[in-house]
Amino acid sequence: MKNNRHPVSLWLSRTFAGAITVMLIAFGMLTYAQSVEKAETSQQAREADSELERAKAIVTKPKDNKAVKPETGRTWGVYSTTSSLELGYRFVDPSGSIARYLSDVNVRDGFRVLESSMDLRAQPGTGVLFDYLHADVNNAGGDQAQTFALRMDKTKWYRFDSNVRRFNYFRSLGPNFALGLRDYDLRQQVSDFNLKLLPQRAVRFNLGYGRSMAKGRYTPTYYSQSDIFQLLGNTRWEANDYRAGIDATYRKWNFNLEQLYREFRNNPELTGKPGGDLGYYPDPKLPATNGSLATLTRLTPLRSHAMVTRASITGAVTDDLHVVFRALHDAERMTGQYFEAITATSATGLPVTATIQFPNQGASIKRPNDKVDAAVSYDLGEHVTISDTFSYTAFKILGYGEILTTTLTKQTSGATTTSISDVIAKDYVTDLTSYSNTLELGLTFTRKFSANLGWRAMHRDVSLLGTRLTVTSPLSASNPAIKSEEEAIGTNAFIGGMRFRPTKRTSFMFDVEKGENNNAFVRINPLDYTRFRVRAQVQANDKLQFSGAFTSMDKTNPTPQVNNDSNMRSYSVAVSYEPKQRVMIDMGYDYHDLNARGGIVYRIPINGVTTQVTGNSYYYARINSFYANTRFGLTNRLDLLMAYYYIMDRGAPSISLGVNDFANSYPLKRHNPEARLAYRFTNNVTGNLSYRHYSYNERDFSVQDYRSNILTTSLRFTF
Amino acid sequence: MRTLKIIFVAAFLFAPLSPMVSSKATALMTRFSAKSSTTVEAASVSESKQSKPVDASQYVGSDSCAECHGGEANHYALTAHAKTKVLNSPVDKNGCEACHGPARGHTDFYLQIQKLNEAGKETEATTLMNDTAKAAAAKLNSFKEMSAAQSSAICLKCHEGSQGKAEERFNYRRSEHSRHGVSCNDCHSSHEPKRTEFLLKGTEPNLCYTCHAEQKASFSKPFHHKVPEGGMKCSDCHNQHGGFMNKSLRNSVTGDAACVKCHADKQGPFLFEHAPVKVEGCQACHTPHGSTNPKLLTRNTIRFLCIECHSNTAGLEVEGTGIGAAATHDQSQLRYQNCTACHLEIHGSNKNRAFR
Repeated sequence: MKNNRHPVSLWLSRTFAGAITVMLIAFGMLTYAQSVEKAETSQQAREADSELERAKAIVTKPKDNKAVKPETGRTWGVYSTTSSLELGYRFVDPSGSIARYLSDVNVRDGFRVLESSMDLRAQPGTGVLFDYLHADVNNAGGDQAQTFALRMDKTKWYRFDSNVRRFNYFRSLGPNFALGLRDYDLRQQVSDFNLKLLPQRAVRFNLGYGRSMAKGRYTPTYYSQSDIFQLLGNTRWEANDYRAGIDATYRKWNFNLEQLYREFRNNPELTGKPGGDLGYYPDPKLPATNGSLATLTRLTPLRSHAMVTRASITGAVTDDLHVVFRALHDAERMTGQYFEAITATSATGLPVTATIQFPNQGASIKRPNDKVDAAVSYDLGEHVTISDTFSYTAFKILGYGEILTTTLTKQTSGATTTSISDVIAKDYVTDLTSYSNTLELGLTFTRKFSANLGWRAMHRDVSLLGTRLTVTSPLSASNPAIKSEEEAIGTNAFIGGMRFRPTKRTSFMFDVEKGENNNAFVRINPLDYTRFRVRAQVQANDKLQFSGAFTSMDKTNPTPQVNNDSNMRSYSVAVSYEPKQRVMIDMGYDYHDLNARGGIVYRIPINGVTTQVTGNSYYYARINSFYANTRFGLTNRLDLLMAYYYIMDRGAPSISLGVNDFANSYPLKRHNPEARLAYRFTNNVTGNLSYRHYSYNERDFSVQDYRSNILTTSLRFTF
Repeated sequence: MRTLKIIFVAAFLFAPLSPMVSSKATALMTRFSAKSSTTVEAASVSESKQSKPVDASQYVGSDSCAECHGGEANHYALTAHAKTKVLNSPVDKNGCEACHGPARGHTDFYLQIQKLNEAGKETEATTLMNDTAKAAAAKLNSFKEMSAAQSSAICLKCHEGSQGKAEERFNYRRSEHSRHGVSCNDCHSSHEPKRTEFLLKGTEPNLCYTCHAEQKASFSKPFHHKVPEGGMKCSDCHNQHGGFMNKSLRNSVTGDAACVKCHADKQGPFLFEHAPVKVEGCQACHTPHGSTNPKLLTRNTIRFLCIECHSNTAGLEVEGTGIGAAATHDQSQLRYQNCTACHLEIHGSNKNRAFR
């Protein structure tokens, strides 16, 4: 039967029907389930009010009875204090692909300090060692993201900020999926410590230390003997930053000078014992070769150092003229050693021993890097501001490295043939200089309306210069000793936008950016792009808020040989409703549509002859996301918290493909309903019982599907 | 190139400083905006007045404010703003009036009404109360009625520069938020913060989701940075107060993208660098917030991510080799479909220029 309906009306009716269905399903789900472990209970929602009450209590004289006793916390000397501790245990029951579950959710059995905090605060200047101290611990004991934070200050004297974050990073995906050959089980830690001395003075001093490190097992892949092998290794790298600086304020001017030293060290170790059984040839359609690895030793220590100086000045020349200037100089140097020895069997079955090494001083790379940014804003009256921002970036990579590969192959005749490859990257230079200038006009008519217009121009020069890499190749006019390339790219972009607030509770914003993206390197032209965004917020009243957003991004690369384009559309709506502290509903829906096409040239065998063919690579993502978070205070003591997260990628639409075209997508679904009951035994003790379920399904493959039930019990103490 | 440089320098130096443009544009915009609401005009005038020297006798002190606004005063005592009391700083000297403007007219007006009421002259008090001209004159700076630029300008009098983190608020006037009419008061509340730390109206990331709702959906995708788990915050990567990077991104301490603060092993320098890492940025291949693709990649299949740039057409040769990037790579073989199985050190290598 012929469908006479107009495509637009059909699309609208389907969209509307889909939206209604989603809403009904959502509300249906909300009626019987879900919550999140970390959601605020109604008691926690009241803690902000308690904080206000404690604030009042501590500044109110004892004889004044106006202060209300806060529900949580207490007054201790000059301090208003509150603390909490939540201890719990997780029971996890995954099924299906455990590796994928751990790569995705990574929640495991065990005892946890789910949350702990301590907060002490006094009126400024009245504390002995500190006026304010706040410590936080979250998910300690083995969760995939754990945080520890401490902040304290003493007015006039110091302010100290610190945080330590630990991440358990696990990746083990099937071999048919992106990067599936390389697995990781890493512990990563990122920490930052900052001490500011005399924070309220005109001259202030800063000291800081940051550390980022990772260690654990990984399975790098290795190419040898026309084969690919999966190895087992340990990695451990760490970067340490040491900072010292000074801030100063003089009249309307602020100055900042900072010196930083960063060191990085990487000590990967391959501890696996590669052999025929570990050899990995990923294409089952092809016959296995005789290539195998028997032993492998690899030592590749890396060390890098960076000395960074940066300074900034911010200030006002007059009340109308504001200026910012920043300069940064960064001198980085890396040195590396490389030694690798293998014993193997070649693809034709002959015994092979090979060494790969940096024979002399190893690799040495320097990268001086300079950045200068300057901006000026001038207020042309009360409604117009014109500003200009200029940025300059320049860096060079100056490298030296010699890679000597010696391969000994024992022939069937018993003779040993030696093959030597000496590749030198000497005085290998990458030189980049980039300028950009953004001229903007800001208009502010009233609180209700503001707008901006701008033009950004960028220019970049890149040159690549290096000694001919393979010194054993005969030099000739067509094979010169120096190979160099130079590229110059100039791009322009237009920026514009406005915000309109017709009422105090309503806001609309749109902006558009159209131009060329200066983010391609050499050989490939800049992307042409157009980005358009609209956001709307409507606050019906103090309790109900709606928001919506639409974003589109269209990119086209005009380079004939590359010739790819992508179009992204994103639609989001969200509703937040909090009629009282005991009831909260927050839900949203997002549809993300991405289609990309790339012209590709590749080789395949046709009639036994490897032939170059031209086709298209299409990529589609049509992702529907829905979330809902709710809190219902069933009684004065009992809260029911529910959440539901749903992701569905519908994959590629039905399209007709050319014989050499490919369409790629990753259709999948993930449901994640959660529920939690929180019962307040006393003002200071709350018991929690929460349940989370994950169900993950891929449409085209089932080997990575998993399901998991997570039950968490905990007690939260506040004191 | 030279012409472009000249244009850059000329635009930078002269565009904002041209007095002719300034005066003409001001006159033009004054006429254009003559229809502005009286409320906002009053606030604007009040703000502009404040930038001029004010007679010290016009200030009444915070204790006078606390007599009527006791709740605000009590809470204020434990907020970060109260720290300035210790130092006799400009904020302390003027207290509430440092932000709300001199209150002599305001207190005189309401004291007069109070006295009339106490004297039983309620009719006169009501008449005075309803005198819109006098009430408007007695009105203090109300942040709710100011434009984003006006209210932010008041905060920036003290908060511009690097009093917090280095370079935190030094470029707010040209930030994405300022450009789009978002003021300090949209996220911070001096009197009724949800959290007294930084006087925020909410906690990250929920406060950010208020406007950026679509990012909440992004972070619920299977692969995401650990924001929902509490391991990271939006402000770890974005400088919400503005910097010099696109999308309000932070710089790392070495001036690189913020990513290398945690992913330090990707920073290099390497003898052979994959050009996009340093120049184009991690977003060339990764989506930062959340993705259904492993490793937050922009494509689910690695070869199609690579081949979009490394097409092996003549003219796109690999430097020094004279051949196209994938000329020998038979795409019908699975082994060539997972590019990073061989090109393992794809972010940069000291061993092999093809990142093997």
